[in-house]
Order: sequence, then C-alpha cells, then structure tokens
Amino acid sequence: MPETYLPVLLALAFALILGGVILAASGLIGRGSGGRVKLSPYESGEPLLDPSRKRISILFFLIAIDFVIFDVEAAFLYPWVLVLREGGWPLFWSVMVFVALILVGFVYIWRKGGLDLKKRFRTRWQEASHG
Amino acid sequence: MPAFDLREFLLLAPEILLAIGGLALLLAGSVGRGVPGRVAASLSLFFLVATALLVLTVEEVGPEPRLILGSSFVLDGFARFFKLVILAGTALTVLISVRFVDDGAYRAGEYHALLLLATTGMMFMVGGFNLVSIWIALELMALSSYILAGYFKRETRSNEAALKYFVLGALSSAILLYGASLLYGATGELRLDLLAAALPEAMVTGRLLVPTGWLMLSVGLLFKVAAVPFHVWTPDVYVGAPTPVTAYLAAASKTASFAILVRIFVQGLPTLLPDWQIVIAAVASVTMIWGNLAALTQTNVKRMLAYSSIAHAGYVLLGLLAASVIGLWSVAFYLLAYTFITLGAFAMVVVLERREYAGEEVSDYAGLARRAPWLAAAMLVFLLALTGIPPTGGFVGKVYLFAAAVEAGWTWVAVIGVLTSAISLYYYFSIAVQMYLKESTRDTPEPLGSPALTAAIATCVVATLVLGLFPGPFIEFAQAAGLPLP
Repeated sequence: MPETYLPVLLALAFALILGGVILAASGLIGRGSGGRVKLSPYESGEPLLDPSRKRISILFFLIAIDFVIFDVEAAFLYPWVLVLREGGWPLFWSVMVFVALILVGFVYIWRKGGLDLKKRFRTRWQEASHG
Repeated sequence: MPAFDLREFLLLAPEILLAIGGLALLLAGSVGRGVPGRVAASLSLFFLVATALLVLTVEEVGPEPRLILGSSFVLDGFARFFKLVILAGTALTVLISVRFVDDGAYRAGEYHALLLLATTGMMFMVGGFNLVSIWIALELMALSSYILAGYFKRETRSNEAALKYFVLGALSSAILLYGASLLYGATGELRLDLLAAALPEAMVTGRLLVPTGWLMLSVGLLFKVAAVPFHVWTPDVYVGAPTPVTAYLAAASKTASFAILVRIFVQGLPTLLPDWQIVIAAVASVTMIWGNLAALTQTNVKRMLAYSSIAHAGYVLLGLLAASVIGLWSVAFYLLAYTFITLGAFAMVVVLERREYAGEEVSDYAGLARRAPWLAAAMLVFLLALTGIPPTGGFVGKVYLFAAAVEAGWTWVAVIGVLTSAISLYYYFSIAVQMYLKESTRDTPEPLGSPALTAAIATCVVATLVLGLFPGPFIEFAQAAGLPLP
C-alpha cells in the first residue's frame, strides 16, 4: 500500500526542488532591489492597514463582473468535456452556440474599452484634473 | 442525457432569428459612435416583422401540441397566439421609442438590442413546457428589463426604478425558483404534464412540500404580473423608467407573465384547482379594489396608469379563476386588447413628455382637445377602453371575463370587478375633463409628435376600435389559443 503514495512523494520532492532552485537562482543572478513596499505583506494590491471607507474606482467592480461572466463559462466547460463523447454532435454544437454567445459579450466589452484599463484610468484622471 | 433531433432547432427559427437580431444590434452599437437611432429602430422593426412571419410559417401548429427539444418547449396555439401578441407589442414599443432615443443622449443600438433580447425571452417563456426552461426565459426577459428601466442612467428616478425593479424582481424570481424546486422535490418532475400526473400521489407522500411549493410558485408569478399584495414595485418602476420602457413593461412583459401563469396553473397544477381558485379569487378581488382605489388619488399620469395596470391584472385573473374554456380564451383576448390600449395610452404620455420627465401631470392635458383634436380623440378612445365602455376592445374583453367568472360560479368576484370598473371611470375621465373642459395655460406643454409616434397611436386606436366593433375573428383567434382543460 505505501507504494501507492509514491506520486505524492514525487510531487512533494519536485515542489521542494523547484522552489529551492528558483530561490537560489534569483539569489545568485538577481539584482538586490526593493524596500518598504516590497517587504510589506501582500494583500491583493491594497495597503494592509487602511481606512475601510475610502473611495474605490468602479473599474474594479466592472473587472470583477467581467471576470465572473467568463469564469462561469469555464465552469460549464469542465463537465462538458467529460460527457462530450456520450452527448455526440448535438452536445458539441449546443456548447458551441453557448461559447459563441459569450464571445459576443467578450467582443462587446472589448469594443467598449472595458479591457483597456490604462486608457480608462487615464481619461478618468484627465477628467478629474480638468474639473 | 435526453436525446433530441437537431432538426428541431429549425422549429425555433423565430426565436433564434430574434436573438441574432438582438446580438447584431448589440455588436453594431459597440462599434465607434454606435448606430443612429432611426437605423437601429428600422432594423429592430425589420427583425420583429420577420420573426412574426416565421412564427406564422415555420411553427406549424397541429391540433395536438408538439413537444420539442427534450420537451423543453411546446408548439401549440397558446404559444403562437401569445408570441404574436408580444411581437406586436414590441413593434409598437419600437415606434414609440424613436423620438425618445433621438432626444436623449443615450445610445440607440443597445436600447433596441435589449428590447429584442427581452422579447426573445418572452417568446421562449410562452413556449416553455418545463419549469426550468420557463424560468431561464423569464430571467432573460427580466434581466434585460432591469437595464431598460435604468436606461436614463443620469436620472435619479430612472436609477431608482432600475434598482427597485432589480431587487424585487430578483427576490420574486428566487421565490419562484424555490417553489419550483420544492415541487420537483415532491414529484421528481419538471415537465408540466408529468408534474400534473405525479401531483396526486406526491400530495400524500410529500406532505407539506406540495402546498409550500405551489404557494411559492404562485407568489413568484403573481409578483411578475403585479397583483396585490405583490404590486409594491409597480408604481415606482413605472414612473421612473423611461416612458416607452414603461409601456413595454405594462404591455408585453405583463402579457408574457400572464401566459406562463395560466400555463403553469392549468397544465402543471390542475390537480390543485380548488385550492388555487380560492387564492386567485382573493388576489383578484384585492387587486381590483386596491388598484382602482389607489389610482383615484394620483395626479401623475404614469403613476395612474401604473395603478390602472395593477387593476387590469385583477380583471385578467378573473378568466384564470373561472378555469373554463371561455375563461381561458377571454384571458387571451383581453391581453390582446390590453396590449394595444395600454401602449396607446403610454404613447400619448410620450407625446406630451419633455426633457425626459416633464409633462406627466394630469393638468398637462388641459385644453388638449382644442390644440390637438385628433390626439385628444385618440386619448379618449384609450380612456374609454381602459374603463371598459363600448365600442372598444376593452369593453368586449371585460364582458367575456366577467361572464366567464359568473358562469363558473364566482359571481361575487365578478361583482367586485363591475363595481371597481365604475370607480375607475372617475380617474380615467379626470384626464378627459382636462382635455375637453379645461383651458390650457402658458405652461401647458405642446404636444410633440413624430411620424413613428403618430403611426403607433393610429394603429392602437384602430386596433382598439376594431376589437370592439368586429371582435368575431379575433375571438376565434383567441379561441385557437385555448389550453386543454383538466
């Protein structure tokens, strides 16, 4: 029985070796840079200690909504792959239609500049600075 | 997995065409400066007419209902009738919207795209034969409507309408879905006919599951048709939403919701007929009483029409209450007439509207008969029809609804209907009094029509009068929409 756990052991060993190699490589080759910001704990880009009631750009919310749409699509695709053979062509084309519909949404977001964050932030700043 | 023939998708050609139309307008609206309002309106009219032609040609309706796509959808006279009514209502809404989209600095492509997608949802709703497919179609309609209600995105009232509509609509959808899941838990069936067959046994084994399930299902559906006591969202949403959208909600959305209410109750829950009749009788009475009494005190025409649409939901419930052949086709006929009447009345509100919301007060109609005699006459026809006075379609429809209720032994509910109709005369005719007996002042807004708006109002007037004077062929049309009764 213990030999069935060999893959787990291998994965663990691989992870340790990979982690060690990366740390060693960046220690040897990388340039030492950084400071206070880099050493602070990572909290999804937000400062760790901060007033909770501050204004946050609506863009974060829009990105989250866009993400949810495509995330849900991906969630449907996993079970689809598993039963694709049994379902045959009707199932294949049903999901193709579904993907095409999502694609329309994607093109819409893209054309409206929803993915171009830099541009949207910049126009926002310009609006703000010009009053 | 349910096997189905891919060729059955061809039978959904009307819905597919309409969905493609909506998506094409959506994509066109996202390119560059978007689509000009008139182009978008013409395109959506084209898609609506083409879809109606496809409904008439592709969807062959035999004497027996035909189940397609793993019995998710059904092709029968009932679905076909309501699809055509909804398409007509949407086409009129597009005509009413032309000036409104031109005036506002809002994008036309997305507006018409959402309208077409909501209509696609309604068409799937009335053709749905499975609680899940009906619910998904309902959501397609509802989600598009929430956005449409908030289309004036820089207006506080429009935002408020969208938010209230969204929160209460999502709540009612959740209740509806939960009720459906309880019924599924009790019977193991989602198909309406199999659900009906499995209910008698489930009522014994499932104990409280069945009553809880169908009550929650009813609450969700009555929310959607805005029956008292589930009507609280209606006045605020109808007032805040852009007027063409309000017209669409009052006509097409209400018709589609009534269609699924009738289908689910008659085809899915016939075993519970005595139980739901009591609930419907109570809801219909309080809806007629409260809708009409609350409308009495309104001075804003849109708000008054909102309460009037609540009251009309009560009248239509009488036909379902009767649960007889005449009851069901009188529901269909009344919704056909009501679509034209209410769209016409809201089109008149659009004519007088300025700067997005001004010109909505009853006093804004003062002296309209002198300044625009034809428009005033049209409004008078709609007011007569809403009250239920001959020679209009509203009268014929009400007569059959009340007759159906009396014939089925629900005389007291019909009496409430007649009495409250008499009350409604007061508030409808407060507008007529303003138009014909009052003088206009300097502040009274001038009526501002457009060819499309005139065409819409003329169509509604003609339809209202024809339905009242020559109802014969339309009654036959509605009779073909009957559902098999238990």
